[in-house]
Amino acid sequence: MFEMLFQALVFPGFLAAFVIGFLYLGIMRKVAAHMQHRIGPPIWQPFLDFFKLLSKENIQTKDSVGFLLTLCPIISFASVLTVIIFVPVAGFGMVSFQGSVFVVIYFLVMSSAFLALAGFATGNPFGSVGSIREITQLVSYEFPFVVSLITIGYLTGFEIIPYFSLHFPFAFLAFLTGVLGKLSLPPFHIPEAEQEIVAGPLTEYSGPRLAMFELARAIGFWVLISIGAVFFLGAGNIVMFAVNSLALLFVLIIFRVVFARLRISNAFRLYWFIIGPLAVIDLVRALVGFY
Amino acid sequence: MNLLAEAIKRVFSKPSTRKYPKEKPEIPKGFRGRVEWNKDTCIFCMLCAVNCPTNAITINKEEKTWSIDIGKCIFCGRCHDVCPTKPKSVNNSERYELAEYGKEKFNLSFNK
Amino acid sequence: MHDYLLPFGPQHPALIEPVHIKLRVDGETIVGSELVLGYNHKGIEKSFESRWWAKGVYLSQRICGICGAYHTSCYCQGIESLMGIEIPDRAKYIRVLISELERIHSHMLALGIVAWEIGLDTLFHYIFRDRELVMDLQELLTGNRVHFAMNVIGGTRRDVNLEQTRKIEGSLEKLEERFRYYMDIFKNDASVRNRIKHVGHLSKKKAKELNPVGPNIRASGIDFDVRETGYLAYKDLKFKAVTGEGGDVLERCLVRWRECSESVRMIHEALLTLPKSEIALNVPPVIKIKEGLETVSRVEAPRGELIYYMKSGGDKPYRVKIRTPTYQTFHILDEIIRGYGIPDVPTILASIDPCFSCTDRMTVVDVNTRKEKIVTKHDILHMKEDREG
Repeated sequence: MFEMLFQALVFPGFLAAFVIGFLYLGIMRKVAAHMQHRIGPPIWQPFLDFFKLLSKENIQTKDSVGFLLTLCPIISFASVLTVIIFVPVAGFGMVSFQGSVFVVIYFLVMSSAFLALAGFATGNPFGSVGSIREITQLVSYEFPFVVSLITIGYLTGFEIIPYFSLHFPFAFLAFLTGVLGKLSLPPFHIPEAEQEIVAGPLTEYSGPRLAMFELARAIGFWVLISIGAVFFLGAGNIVMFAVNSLALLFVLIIFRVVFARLRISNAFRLYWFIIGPLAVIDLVRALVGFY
Repeated sequence: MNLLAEAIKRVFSKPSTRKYPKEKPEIPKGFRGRVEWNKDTCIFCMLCAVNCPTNAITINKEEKTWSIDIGKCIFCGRCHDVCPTKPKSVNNSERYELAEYGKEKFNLSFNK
Repeated sequence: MHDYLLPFGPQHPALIEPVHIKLRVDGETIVGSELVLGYNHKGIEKSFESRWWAKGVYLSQRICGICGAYHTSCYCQGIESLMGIEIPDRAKYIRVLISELERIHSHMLALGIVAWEIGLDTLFHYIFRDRELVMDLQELLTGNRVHFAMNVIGGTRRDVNLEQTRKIEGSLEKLEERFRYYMDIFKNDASVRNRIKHVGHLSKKKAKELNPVGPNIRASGIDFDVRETGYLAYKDLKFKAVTGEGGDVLERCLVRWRECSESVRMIHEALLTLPKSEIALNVPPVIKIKEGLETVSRVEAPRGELIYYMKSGGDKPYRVKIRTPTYQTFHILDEIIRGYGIPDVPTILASIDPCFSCTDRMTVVDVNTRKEKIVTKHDILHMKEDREG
């Protein structure tokens, strides 16, 4: 019982997710800044941002729906945090059963869906456009992302366990682009395109509510990288896990640095007509046992 | 893919950002910084005060004072150009860190 | 399906200066747009009238921070033609030198912003880093990075010496290589092309009708550049206007890059063939010009043709009317924005390189009818007459 609580709250649960998630974001900003030939913020900057936001007040506009404004960030954050339970981070698994892949998929969708709902709840035109884009993007990347998870899941009994799956390159590609889409990282930072729609769904958010979304984002970052490291790169122990997740982080940074933002229509086409079919090829290969 | 090559190269190179307060920039010769006045050569001809586009310079001939409002000065250097003395009595120095607490500190007055 | 109104500005992350564009949006497609100016009125034209001619030079410089050298050069050129004097040859060359350096930095700024608007921060940072080279050259030559105060009535203020020439040549060589690198990225990088190719299209026919100026019209294939008239030293430098084809955002960007290279070539040539003479005529601080004389002076600023109309009122101007390039270019905005999506709005807006600071005029809103009207001096005089009569 005590061990379970420790795992849920400290490692690999909430506290570890909190620290490492923000740390990953900090590393990403720092390395991306160096790639852009500038100094960039210190690595602990996301922590400072988070605590600053916590100390600020919640501002609510007249047009917004009050209870949703508070509810959405909490559910969004809680659902990504729950995913941690099913991922054996660095060999420390908490709950594992056949079919946990589907639970993970559902919780991840829930997080994005509530982000979109949060945008509609503010009644801001930028928020609405951002939410429409968030939903469109969800519909786009979910297909290849789910296919890639099912491909590997088929071989592991739909359970998230360490599995090295680079002989399914398309599934890995689909997973990677799915992660980019889920986290709204370039080139898929469409829902929160700063130059077009200010901050998308988060335009009207401030204070602790925004801090909650930031936290959800950081933990989502950590969770998805962990899934990649464990489920696709087969990290069974702590060293492998660290190496794999940092390598994945570096790949994500490269994506962030060299690509311009896609249009939402481009993104849709890319996911459904290019990455999706490729992922299906790998799924078929897994089903017929040709690998 | 050119962009990727440069990005990878830059990970290991020193950022091009200048860490300003610690690292001072190199000021080229002829930089137009804060205006400075030479009391020994000035003949109080009023040319600089009259020609100043923003009327930042005021001169009191009787009391022999020369004053400038740095808040108004636009650093165009026209006072230096029109000064008739040799060597010039009004010069642009190389001082550029001019921030102060309080507007009244921008009013600089010099006595002969 | 009904459309809705998406406000773009006056406060928006994609805008550096305040302007308000009301976008009629259907889903993600723009079906109409309306431009609302008036957030940046500074009353500069009026303040010219209370200043001596020579003091106006510094005021005209402050119309715009990015093309200050063009404003002063145009203003001084006008006064010189009113006075009937010709500036020394060396001064002409130095004016060209400063102008072309400023054109490079202005174009790099515009293109960097295009890169930022498509969400590619890296390219933006690289371009702005390289822009520092030009800024340093400007500081070296004129003593300041932005407001040069280099042009005075009757010539220029400072000379170029050998040491400076060497430094300029060195920096320009580096820059030229970078221009090729960036042009390659704009042309060939798939993710950049995806965002700027076939966007914001302005056909040759429409360009002729709406008549924008500067790189915007040249990108549509119309050869219109004031520098071809050969004012200052452009005749001797064998200037040739850069034109493009197709007139989309990519083409407008490429025309700007090619213009940068052309500027570099001209600076090299100007430094080689710099004639030896005085740099300025001796003009007294207070100039008296016969009242009622008028003139039109024009130069090619980075954003296009810049026109000053001046009428003398003795030792001060009676009227200075400025037509900035962006004012003329804004007419095409609705044409090039309609039919494209929200993601393309910032890119298209950045690609015409707008400068609101130069452009804003006074707008009066009638409270009863909510009708807006741009007020000119002529109208104000009429209002006065109406009230008196």
